[in-house]
Amino acid sequence: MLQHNADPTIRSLIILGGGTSGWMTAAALAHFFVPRGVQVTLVESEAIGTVGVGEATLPHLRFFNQTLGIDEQEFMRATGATYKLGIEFSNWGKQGDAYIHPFGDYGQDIRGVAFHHYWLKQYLQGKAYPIDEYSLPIMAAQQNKFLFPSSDERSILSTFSYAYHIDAGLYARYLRNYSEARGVARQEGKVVSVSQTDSGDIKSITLDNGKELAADMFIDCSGFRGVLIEQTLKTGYEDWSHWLPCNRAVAVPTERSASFPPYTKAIARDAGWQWRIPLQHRTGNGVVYCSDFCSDEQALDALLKNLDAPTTADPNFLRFVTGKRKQAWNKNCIAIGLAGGFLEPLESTSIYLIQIAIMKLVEFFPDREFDAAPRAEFNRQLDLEYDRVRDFLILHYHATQRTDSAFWNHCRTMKIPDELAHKMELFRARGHVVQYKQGLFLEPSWVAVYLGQGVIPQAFDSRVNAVSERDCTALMAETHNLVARASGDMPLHEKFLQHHLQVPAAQYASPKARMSLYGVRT
Amino acid sequence: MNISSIAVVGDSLAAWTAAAMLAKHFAQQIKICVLEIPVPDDASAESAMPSLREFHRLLNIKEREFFQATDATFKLATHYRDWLRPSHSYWLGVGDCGMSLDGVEFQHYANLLHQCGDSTAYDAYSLTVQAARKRKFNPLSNSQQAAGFQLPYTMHLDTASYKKMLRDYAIAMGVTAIGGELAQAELTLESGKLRQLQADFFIDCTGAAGKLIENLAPGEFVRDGLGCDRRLSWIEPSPADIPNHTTLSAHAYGWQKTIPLRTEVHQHYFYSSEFLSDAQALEIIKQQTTEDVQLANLHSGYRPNPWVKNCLALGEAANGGGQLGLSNLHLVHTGILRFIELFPSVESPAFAQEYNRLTALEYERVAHFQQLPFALSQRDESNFWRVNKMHALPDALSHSIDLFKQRGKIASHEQETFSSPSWAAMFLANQCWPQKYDPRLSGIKLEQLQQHTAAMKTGIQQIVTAMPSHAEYLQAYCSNT
Amino acid sequence: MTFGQADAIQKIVIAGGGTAGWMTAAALANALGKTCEIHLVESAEIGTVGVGEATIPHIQLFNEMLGVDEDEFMRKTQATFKLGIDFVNWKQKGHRYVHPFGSYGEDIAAVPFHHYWLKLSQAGIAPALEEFSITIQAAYANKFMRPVDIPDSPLSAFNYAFQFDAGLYAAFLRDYAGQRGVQRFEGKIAQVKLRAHDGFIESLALENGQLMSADLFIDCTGFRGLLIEQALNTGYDDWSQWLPCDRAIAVPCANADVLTPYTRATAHTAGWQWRIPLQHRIGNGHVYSSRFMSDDEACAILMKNLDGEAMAEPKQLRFKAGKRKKMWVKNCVAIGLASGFMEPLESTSIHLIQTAIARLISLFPSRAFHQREIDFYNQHGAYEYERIRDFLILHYKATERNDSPFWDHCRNMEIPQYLQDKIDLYQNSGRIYRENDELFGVTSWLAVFEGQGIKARAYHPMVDKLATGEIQARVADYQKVLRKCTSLMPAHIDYIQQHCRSF
Repeated sequence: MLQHNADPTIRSLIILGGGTSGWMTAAALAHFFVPRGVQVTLVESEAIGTVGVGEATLPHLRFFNQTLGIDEQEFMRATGATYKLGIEFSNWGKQGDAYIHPFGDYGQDIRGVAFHHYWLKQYLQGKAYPIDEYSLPIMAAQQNKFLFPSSDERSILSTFSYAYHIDAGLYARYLRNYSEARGVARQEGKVVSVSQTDSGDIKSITLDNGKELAADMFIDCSGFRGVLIEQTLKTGYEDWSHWLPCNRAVAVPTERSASFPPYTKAIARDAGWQWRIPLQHRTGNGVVYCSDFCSDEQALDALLKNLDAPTTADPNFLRFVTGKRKQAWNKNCIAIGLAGGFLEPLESTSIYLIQIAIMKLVEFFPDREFDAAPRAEFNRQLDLEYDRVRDFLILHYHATQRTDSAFWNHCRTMKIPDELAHKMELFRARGHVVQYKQGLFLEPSWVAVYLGQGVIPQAFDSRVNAVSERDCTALMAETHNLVARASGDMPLHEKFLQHHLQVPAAQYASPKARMSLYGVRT
Repeated sequence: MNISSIAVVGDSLAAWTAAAMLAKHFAQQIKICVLEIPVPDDASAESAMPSLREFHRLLNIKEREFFQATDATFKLATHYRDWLRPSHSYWLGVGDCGMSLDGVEFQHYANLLHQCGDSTAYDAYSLTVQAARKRKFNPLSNSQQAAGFQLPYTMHLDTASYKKMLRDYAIAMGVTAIGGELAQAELTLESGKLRQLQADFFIDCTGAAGKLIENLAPGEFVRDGLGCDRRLSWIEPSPADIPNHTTLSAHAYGWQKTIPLRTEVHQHYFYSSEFLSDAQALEIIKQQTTEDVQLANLHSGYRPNPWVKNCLALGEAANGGGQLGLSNLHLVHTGILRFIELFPSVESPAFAQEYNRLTALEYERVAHFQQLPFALSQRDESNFWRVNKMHALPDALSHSIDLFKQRGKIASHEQETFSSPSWAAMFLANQCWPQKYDPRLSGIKLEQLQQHTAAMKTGIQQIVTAMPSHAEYLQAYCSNT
Repeated sequence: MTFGQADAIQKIVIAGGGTAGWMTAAALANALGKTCEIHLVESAEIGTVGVGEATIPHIQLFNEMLGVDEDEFMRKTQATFKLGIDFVNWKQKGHRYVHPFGSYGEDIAAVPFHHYWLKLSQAGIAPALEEFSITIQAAYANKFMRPVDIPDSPLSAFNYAFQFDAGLYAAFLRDYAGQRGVQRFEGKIAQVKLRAHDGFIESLALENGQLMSADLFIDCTGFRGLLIEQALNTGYDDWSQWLPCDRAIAVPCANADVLTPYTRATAHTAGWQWRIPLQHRIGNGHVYSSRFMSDDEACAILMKNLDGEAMAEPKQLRFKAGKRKKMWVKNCVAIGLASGFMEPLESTSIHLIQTAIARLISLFPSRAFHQREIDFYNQHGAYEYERIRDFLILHYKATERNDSPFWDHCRNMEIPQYLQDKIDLYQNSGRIYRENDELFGVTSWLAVFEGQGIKARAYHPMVDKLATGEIQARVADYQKVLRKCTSLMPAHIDYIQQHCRSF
């Protein structure tokens, strides 16, 4: 009888590590590849804690959930989630400043030219309202309001998107149920040794209970350590701490607070920044700091001093090196999550970077021959994502006028990547935002941070002059009014949330998600 | 830099294209003039890319008027003859082949069927190719569009009349045309100034000579080392059954481009003077035609810095539109729009830097796409083909080829001119079928896929059958007002 | 008053209600509509043989003619799909090959594929012939799907048949025929009454006294041939010198783990065993020669070689390979076992019923019963039988087995000239011709020749127009495509689950 050994399909795959990245990967594979005959096993140990950062998410997560057929209401209930319209940055440009980076646009394009140019023209003449007042998600967030966006492009309500604050631990648990129900096997155990083939591919892992698990392919979700990608395959790490010096964090949850804003807070401190993430049942808090400029005690002290409710657990210290694995995909192993790289959660990108790696994995899913070109393309595309998020984060530190601490003096004066310097120069010169198609943060985000942190252009797009002063003023006033009215009419976030957690499933009508940070009009 | 005047130099199609678009945006604020220095390089007809329609939309040019004025025809496809090997031919349609399903691009499904032995040509799934083969044309009805079919198109046009149309447009918008003696004089750009006229900014549209930019960045033009440097052109009367496709026929020393207009067919015979002398070329052409033949010198390549100081090179002065010249007009469009986007309202080198960065990225991909028909060709009967085929593949292109051959995927790049489906269609037309099918398709129900593709093919055939001929449609379209 | 021809057949009686009887009833009801009264008489007391559960692809035509929905038919008959027959131990013990319902490879320049393969094979550089049959590859992998119309794909170029419960099939057709006006009568036939002046059958007298008269009688009474033989004394051609098996023991057993999309025929020391997987059970039977083996031994061998627990008592059958001298005599047409018997080695029983019906319909008589048409019917029927006979004999003759007197007998026996010519032609030139309407074509003969060790010494001269390297490349390409296609087929069991699971 003839055997079909020629079939090179991946038959088995092991995910090492069961945090957010592990279970998100498991869930996606359960959806896409378990039905196609791939045996997926996730190995995790209850003895190893998960980092559980990334409680603040980006709108893309909605796309992930919808792709997997996850019901939003059920997800909200299961993860203690609240809605999120953006991130508020306080004290970044200078002490006392605050701005919101919204999941949406400012105004709308006029004759193919971005709104902020028209705003700039008026602003430079001292005639404009703050640009925030032309952004519906910002105005809604400031008033603690929330409403689902509309998919009708004519409506001002289509100019934003939304994300969630979630309990990452609960999300992982939720996805675990999802995955196990769809055929993913879970193995309890710690890896004690890894065996490789002659060509260096990972052959199997041996657990502390003596079990040896072999697979065609391995996904390393083991966190910072990178048990497979680094400890075994010695892939190497690109260290970015000269641009993003923070290397520690301390996190602590507090009781549910009275203030229930639909946005994450990122408050700059003397040597780093503090996050505040409001969930249904508690608030997540933490300080990210640089050990060169701040001791653990100082950091903890700053954190505890700036909480608005009693803590509900002991503080948890973390150490990290900002950077990226030199190759997220090496041999038959792909690192996803912290094993693949670490960027501080300043712009809530952790879960997004997991998600994008998973989506690329699905797109470039290999077979046992592990062809070079798809792997190279996967790495190239992920590198681009990381590089661009990195530059965007550096901007937050670098674009500051703060002179009140050694940390900020360092950031303000440090050398930044050439590409970023070029981008900043173009914005300074005339409000031009460098465009790219592959990347998370597009024009509105760059505008938000530039303007929010005091990078004010000297000039604006010359095409603006082709619109008469009167038309321009009228159009801007109309947008301003619309935003004010629409945000005024929105329900309070807390009320909206309570209502929507309780309505019958049929009445819970969340809009269709896209792989975008912004509304459908953008 | 506060620009209050712009001088566009050269009486080329690029010049008037730039002037029209500049006028559209800045006529009220900026003095724009065109110094009408004769430029010999323009081809007598152009086969445009689909972006021409968007360009016209921006200028508010009505398509019917454009057709009436420029002897234009519709273009649905390009017919590549004898490229892969003599007597083999393939068609690349405007727009995409097939329809993607469940978020997986169509080429993966076609590949799966191919791996099952399916002999259907990939272009059977292209409505534009099928209509072009039959020389038929008609815009789609709403119900056809609702069924998921699309008929994107572009145009063939007569260069001289189109240039005149844009000139009229620009002048109506306030652009000054400067001809006469000034345009005859030698150009000398001295410390950012032309002797003939004062302007804050110059757009060099003087063709391959690059008369201004060459002053500022002498010798920078990078030759591709590929393609052709000569063009012989002549004009024949159109057949009654006017084609709606461009034909690119490979021959031993280059290729011939046939652009069908309403009343005339423009033939352009491209060759490389390295392998064929002008006299030999003329001999060959004499066997094809008794019409007058024009000779032009070309260069294939690009300027890494088309924007230097206060001068921007556009058209042939900046690049040759890729080895096959597929994108010459298109790159003028994107060039002038990019310039307007980055219009330097303050003094900063960042604008030119950004323009040059994006333009280089764009050109690289355009050139890579046009290298494909050479790289994948099996022809080797002459030095022209041997040299072109052996021409080193740039890393990014060889990655693109590997990625497609292995998995049928298109490498994703910024500033891509040709869409992923177009890349896929080019690979598949060259019989470059991926070795593997996308794992997302494993377990797919072949019956359903077969029904889907059969319905697609039938739908396309039905639409094409019901269409009037291109000639009939044109006749009605252009006589209507 | 009728508008038809004056001498049209107005009434038909079918004697016997097994597979043959009900297939005939259904087909005639469908073909004749209301122009003709059809009665079928059967007795619940007489069991049916119910072999022939395995079919060949032509059955699809029969279903199509009746307008039967294939999935529904499968659900109602516990049917499974069949891609071919797996012959185990025929060439020699431990050897196996499949006779597939689909050709090998694809023709190149109008020359059949197997000539190219023969060239490579004779040079010792050919992959196994079975590598070029998607049917065989799918069968070995227990995969199945109906062909898909993908141009030039092997997936569009194979055939399939069914394995079903013949009893349920008869019941299914009884409902079908009943709905179309066929009347069923319960009763045993006591006497066949002949017309005195011409010896035509006048009527059947049942034990309950009922008299069934008709213009045309169809004898589906099985081996006995109650009408054709017992009443009309037609005579029987005995073929047991070539096909020595004369007994069978049948027993169903529980299903095995894997639902195979093929029938298996395993040679034993004095005959062979069939294995026919259905949705709810496996049909098994041991066909043997009583000259070489006792009933007890045959039964023991059968019971030892079941995949699952036996689900009933073994049932014995006796038969004599051969054919009725004439299948149509006067106004009586014998269909099914009444017309002849050949062991179900190539699953031909139901097919022979089907072709007899088709032939009857195309030569449907008037009450005048023209002898020319009857002769024509019989000639064709005989030819068909003989060609199938020859193909069956090949299985016994082409063997290397020498482990039992039975096989020694078969290996050394004289064979019909037609078969000998066919073998010689293949050995000398690699050619296989299908003559007239013979059932088995190139693929079938090739499968059995190569599967049982008959080798060709030459190949088609036009093959040499292609360089060997070119042939190898084309062949390798085809192999690659075929592997891919096979890998894309679902498991047989899953396909049934999705389309035609019986409840």
